[in-house]
Formats: sequence, structure tokens, C-alpha cells
Amino acid sequence: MLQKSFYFALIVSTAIVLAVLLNLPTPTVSEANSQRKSPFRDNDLTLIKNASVFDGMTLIGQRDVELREGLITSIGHNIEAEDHNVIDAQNRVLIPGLIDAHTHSFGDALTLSLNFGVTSNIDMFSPNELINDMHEQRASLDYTEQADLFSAGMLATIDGGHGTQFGIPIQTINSPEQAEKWVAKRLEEGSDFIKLVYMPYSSYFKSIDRATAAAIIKQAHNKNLKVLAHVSSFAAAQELLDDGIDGFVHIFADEIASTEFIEQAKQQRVFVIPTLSVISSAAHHDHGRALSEDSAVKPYLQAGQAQQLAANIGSQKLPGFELEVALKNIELLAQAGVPILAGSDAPNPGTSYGASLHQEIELLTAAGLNAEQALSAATGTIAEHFDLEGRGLIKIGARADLVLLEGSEISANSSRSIAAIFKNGKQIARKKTPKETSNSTSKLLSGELSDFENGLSANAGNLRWTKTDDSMVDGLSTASIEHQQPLLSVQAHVKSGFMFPWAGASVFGEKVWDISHFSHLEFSFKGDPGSYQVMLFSSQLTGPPPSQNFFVKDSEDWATIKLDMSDFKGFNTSDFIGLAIVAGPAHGEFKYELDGVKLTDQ
Amino acid sequence: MSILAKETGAEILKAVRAPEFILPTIFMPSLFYTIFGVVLNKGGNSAVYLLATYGVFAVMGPAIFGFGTGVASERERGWLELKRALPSPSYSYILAKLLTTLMFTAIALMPIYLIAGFGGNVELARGDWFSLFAIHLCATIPFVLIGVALGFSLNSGGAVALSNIVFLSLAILGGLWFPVFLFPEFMQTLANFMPSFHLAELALSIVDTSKECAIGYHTLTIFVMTLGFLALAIFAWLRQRSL
Repeated sequence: MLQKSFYFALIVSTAIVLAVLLNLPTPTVSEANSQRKSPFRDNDLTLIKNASVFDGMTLIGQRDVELREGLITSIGHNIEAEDHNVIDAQNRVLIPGLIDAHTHSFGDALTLSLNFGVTSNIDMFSPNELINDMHEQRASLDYTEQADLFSAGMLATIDGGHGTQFGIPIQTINSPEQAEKWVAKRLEEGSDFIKLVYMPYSSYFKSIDRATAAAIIKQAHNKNLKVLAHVSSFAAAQELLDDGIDGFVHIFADEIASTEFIEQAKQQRVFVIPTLSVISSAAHHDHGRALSEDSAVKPYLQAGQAQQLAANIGSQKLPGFELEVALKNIELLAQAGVPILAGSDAPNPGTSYGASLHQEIELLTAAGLNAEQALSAATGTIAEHFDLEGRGLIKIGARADLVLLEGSEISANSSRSIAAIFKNGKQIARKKTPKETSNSTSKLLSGELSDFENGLSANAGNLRWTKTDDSMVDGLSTASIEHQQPLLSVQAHVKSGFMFPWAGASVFGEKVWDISHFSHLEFSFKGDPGSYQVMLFSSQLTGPPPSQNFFVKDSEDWATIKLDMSDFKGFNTSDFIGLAIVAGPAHGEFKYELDGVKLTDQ
Repeated sequence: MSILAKETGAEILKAVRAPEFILPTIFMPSLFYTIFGVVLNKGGNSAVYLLATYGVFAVMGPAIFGFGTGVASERERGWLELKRALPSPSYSYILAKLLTTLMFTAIALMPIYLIAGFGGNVELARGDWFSLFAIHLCATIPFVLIGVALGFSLNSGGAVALSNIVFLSLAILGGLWFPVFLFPEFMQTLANFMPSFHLAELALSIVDTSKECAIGYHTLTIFVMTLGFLALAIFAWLRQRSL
């Protein structure tokens, strides 16, 4: 009896303890990731069996590839699996980790890039604080969920030149005499190469002069740094080619390149990063939107990425950006044997980190490259021309940054059908699109965003008018608003300091509203001549908000502005949190009045 | 073995038949934890912190009171003298009590874990839950030895009084109710002499990986302290036998 009680108690208490301990909550996957461990079997020894291997240049056939401690340690046939984490790659293509040769990595860039198989980003200008850690991080073979970064660091531009509009402090260069010191400073800061902006024929931006550009090229070459140029016209490209430039970070899209230019580029071993994705966006071809709806891409887009992709640069087509011209130039250059490198120029509107490189690969095939050449343009060819040791190629001793693709052949868009991603030899769990958190979005019943009869509160949805300016993103513009019944008076001072400067009035509430039942935004406007814009905000916003510009010539009369909601490219109409009617992006002081702001359905 | 099993069975039956003694020691820590770790927890990570320290607190009660006051009153009633005349070895009396205490503390810990996990949103890796449980369960041993020493040294009235003082000192000075770093410096020094402090630090090292914790130091100290309490308990036992 006593003995039975004991065993009974022992069994019961053990059972209770086990039942509790085995059912207590454990951290979710994302928190486990923050402990920097691969969610997959993490023994640092992986064997990829029977993959069709694309080595960065060409398909070499079926191989087994062994990854050990972050490196590719063996490539061959019938490698015996011992303590390996074995991955069956039958009917799959193994390619080197992709490299995006033109990015500007802000925020989550490196995480987002890796999520689409891009294991290295090459920044064509990033603020200094971003490049401080990059050398150490990219030397490591430890588990990471971020792509590695290479960067030009600071770019070479003049006061008021392209690059200064982003609001990041720029060490500008204004004369050839400053070149030696300027280049030495870049070397000290850890720039991997030099990027200069040369736009002597631009009507928007000032530019360094040709003598300064030539001096920078000379000084950088003295210090064994390559010099890459941002040009937007054929004429500018020709001048820098004559001065010994090493590469172009965009293809000019204003004119077809001359035969002489192409021959000279080939002779001088110059390479070109066309960034067709961003040219397509400037030319309003909506390639980004198509990409965001691609079934291989869509499930993996993170918050805001789909909206970024759906946007275009500018509210109208930008002159001087003809996608057909760009494609023709790349076709001619590639045929002549000038190396073409894939770069997306993310996060410009119409592009997004990681995803857009797959679009760029596809666009390169539209420019006449075959699928192998286009894939090489995003792997081996980049590594070769940027001297990225151990990247972009599948060979013994190379870093085990790899992507496994579905299907046994490669095609223009096979790179986006990703079966597995390996960074530093460890498999990465791809992040899926997060589920919509707020499913309680209600319809905004009234479109009356205020006639300013009753102060600053809108009649609809508890929205309220306030001033808005880019100081919230560390810009320098300022605004003030005053309710002068029955209208709203706005004073705005738009100053350089942020990429897309603005100042003016906005109306915001505390909720997310569905405004998909409204087709137009309408309001009365009277104000100083200049450029103005309407920006729409959503709760999932990353990057610049979808906007439309309007121009005012006459300051005396009230004008009725009516904008079609569908022209706010990339805006999710069921995720509206507010809008702004502001002065900008042109700098200056503006005074204007608003009245009768409303959303209408006709 | 069968004698030990029978003795333990008897202890368990005793506890089950007189639940008014054992139930408060099981549920009081859970109640305290619910109030301070979950209900009054505004933001902060006190649910995690207090899970580690209240686990130590939870095993202290049954260990010290079960032995301190229990042994003292049984001794006073002449039960131990009677037992000495029985064929069962004398150590089985202590071991049976220890096993019973371990079972009850194990069960007493579960409501705290459940409240922490499902009420306080504490999430630990599966292995960490088990490690935490192991530390909390092992923490019973030094406290049992303290209880034995008290029970064999004092009469039942004295044992109740002193057990309470020891219990509260260990809880407060050991940082089980409030973090030690909130104390004035001399009390922080004092904490280093409390076994409860070292056990709590070891438990905290599991739930809070970001915390700097000299695991070796705390493990060694608690080991040496436990040996000290063992010596004390043996001394007290031998002394009462010779009385």
C-alpha cells in the first residue's frame, strides 16, 4: 500500500512535470534567428547532390558540391555523404550567390536582398556610417541573414549636383586641385572604388566639370582604385571614356551609341551596369509592377516592397530616358564584347532590394543577352570586374554563397524560382510576405476632408489637419499652417536637406481607412506660382510616398485641382492613413490656401 | 529500496491526508508570482526575472518548513525515538522526506511556469525550460539541509519562529522578491552569503542570456555552501541522537 502510493506519486508528479515542460511556450522562429543560428541543421557541413552547376560563367553539368565552414570545399561526382546535411538537387540548378552591382543600401536592404538570393550588394554611394562595418562583416564566414556590402562610399559631385538632394552630408568636390585630397579621404574611409557624377548637359543638376572628373580619375588610378561614372547622356559618356573611366553605372538612354564609342569602350575594357530596371521606371514602363505580381516573387515581398515596385520615378515620363534606346545600346555593347553587369539601382521608385535584380536579369535578355550571359552578368562577370575574390563563382575555395534554382535549365526568369539560399555555407530561411495585420480596416464613409468651416478637424473619419515637412526625416524644410475661416492658409519653406523635400499641410487620423470606393481627390487651391505635390500615405509605407505633382502659374485666382486616384502609382487604396498637399520638390518659399478638400467617386 | 519506497509512501500519504499544511506552501508562491510578475507587471521584463527568482522561492517553503517545523514536532512527540527502535535504517527517514519534498516542489513549480508562459508571455527554448526546472529542483537540496539542521536543533515552537526568520531573510536578502541591484551596497554584499542569491543568479543566467553571469563562481559557492549545510545537518542529527 505504502509502496504503491510512492510509485503512484512518483509517476503522477513526473507526468505532470513533463506535461507542463513540454507544452510551455517557446520563442517563435524570428526570435530564434536573432540568436544567429541557422534554422536548418547547423553542422556547417553540407552536400548538395546532383545539381546542374552554373559556375558563374557557364553551365558545367551535373556535380555534387560540398560546403564546409562557409566555403566550397569540394566539387565532383558521387561525393560520399558522411556527417553532411544532404540536399537533393536533382533537376535543380546551383548558381553562385547573386550580386547586385548597383544599389544604395539603406535600412533593411541587406536582409531584403538576401531574401531574394542576392548575397552581395555593391553600393554606388552610401553614407559613411554604413560602410564603417562592411569590411569586417563581409570578411566573416559566420551565419548571417544579411548580404555583404561593397561600396563607393561618398560620391564625387559638386555643390548642388546630383547626390546632394538626398539630405545626406556630402563632401563635394568643386575643382581639379581638390581631387588628390578627396580621393585620399575615400581611401581612408574604406571606399572600394570611386563613383563620380558627371552630368554637364543636365538641366536639373549642376555637375563637376570635365577637368575635375579627369583629375579624380587620375588620382584614383594612382591609388589603384577604379572609377565608375554616373552619366545620363551619350555625350558625357564619350568625354569620360576619353579621360579613362573604368565603367558606367547606368546606360545612357538619350541617344544610340556610335560605333566609335563602342569600339573604344571595348579597347579600354570598360564595363557597363545598365540599370534597365530604373530606366524602365523613369520611362513609366511598369516593369516593377509586373514583377511585384510575379508568382515566384510576390510571396516573398516584405512590407512596402510591392508598393515600391509598383511606383514609377516622377509623375510624368522623364525626358532623356528611352527604354528602347537603352536596350539597343546594351545590345550593341554586348555584341561588341563590352562586359555588361547587372544592377538594379534599388531602392529607386519602381525597384526594390533583391527582387529587382531578377527583373534586371530578364531585361538584359530583352537587350539580346542569352540566359547564361544574363545570369553571368549578375554573378561571375561582376566578381571579375570588381575583383570580388571568392564571390560570384562556384569553384573550390570560393565563399559558399549559393542559390539553388528550380528546374534543370536556366532561362530569362529562372533566377527568381528559388529553391534554397545559402549564405556563408548555411541555408537561410526565406521570409514570406507577412500577413496583413489590420483586417479591421473600415471604409471611410464621407470623403469630406474639410471645407475648413469648423476648424482643422475633417468631417470624415476623425482626421485632422496639421503642418507637415521633411524635418520628420531629418530634412530642413519648414511649414506652418493657420486656419483662416473658411480656408486653410499655409506657409512653406522648402529647403535642400532630404531626397524628396516637402513642406505644407497634411491631414491624418489614427486609423487605417479603406478609400478604394473613391476615384478622385478634389480641392480648391490658390497660391504662389511653383511646383506642388499631393502625397498619399499608407501604414505600410517604405520609401517615398506615391504622389502627383501640379503646377501653379497664376497666384491670383482659385483653381480646382482634380486628381485621379489611380495615378497615385503604387498606392494601396485600402490602406490610407492620410494625405499631404505640399510645396516641393523645387526649393523656395511658398504661401498658399486650401479649401474644400474632398474624395469623390466621380 | 523497498523500505525507502514505503517510508516515502507514508510521507506522501501524510501530506495528502493533511493538505492544510502542504497546500499553502505550494500555492503561495504561485499567487505571489501572479500578483508581482504578471498583474503588476507594466511593460518591463519582470515576468521573466521573477520566474527565475520565484522558482527558487517556491522550493524554499516546502524544504525549510517541511523539515524545520515538521522534524522538530515529530522529534518532540517521541516519534524519532520510536523510529530508532524500528528495523528501517535511520537515513531512510531523511531520504523519504527529501524525496517527498522534491516531488512536492516539482509540482509546486508547475503553476508558476504555466502562469509565466501563458499569463506573462515568457518564451524560453525547450531546453531552457528543462534547465530552469533542473536548477529549481536542485535548489531544494541546500534548503532541505537547512531545514534538517533547524528541526534537529530546536523544539517545535523555536523551529517555527526561526524557520520563518531564515525563510524571509533568504527570500528578501537573496533578491528573490526584488533584484539585488536595487539594494544599498552593504545589503548587496550580504546577498553573497545567501544560498538563495546564488541559486537565483544561476536561474537568471538561463532565462536572460544577455546577462553577465559568473556561472562558475555561483556554482562553486552554492556547492561549498551545500557541503556546509550538510555538515551542519549531520552535526545536529548526531547531537539530538545523543541527547
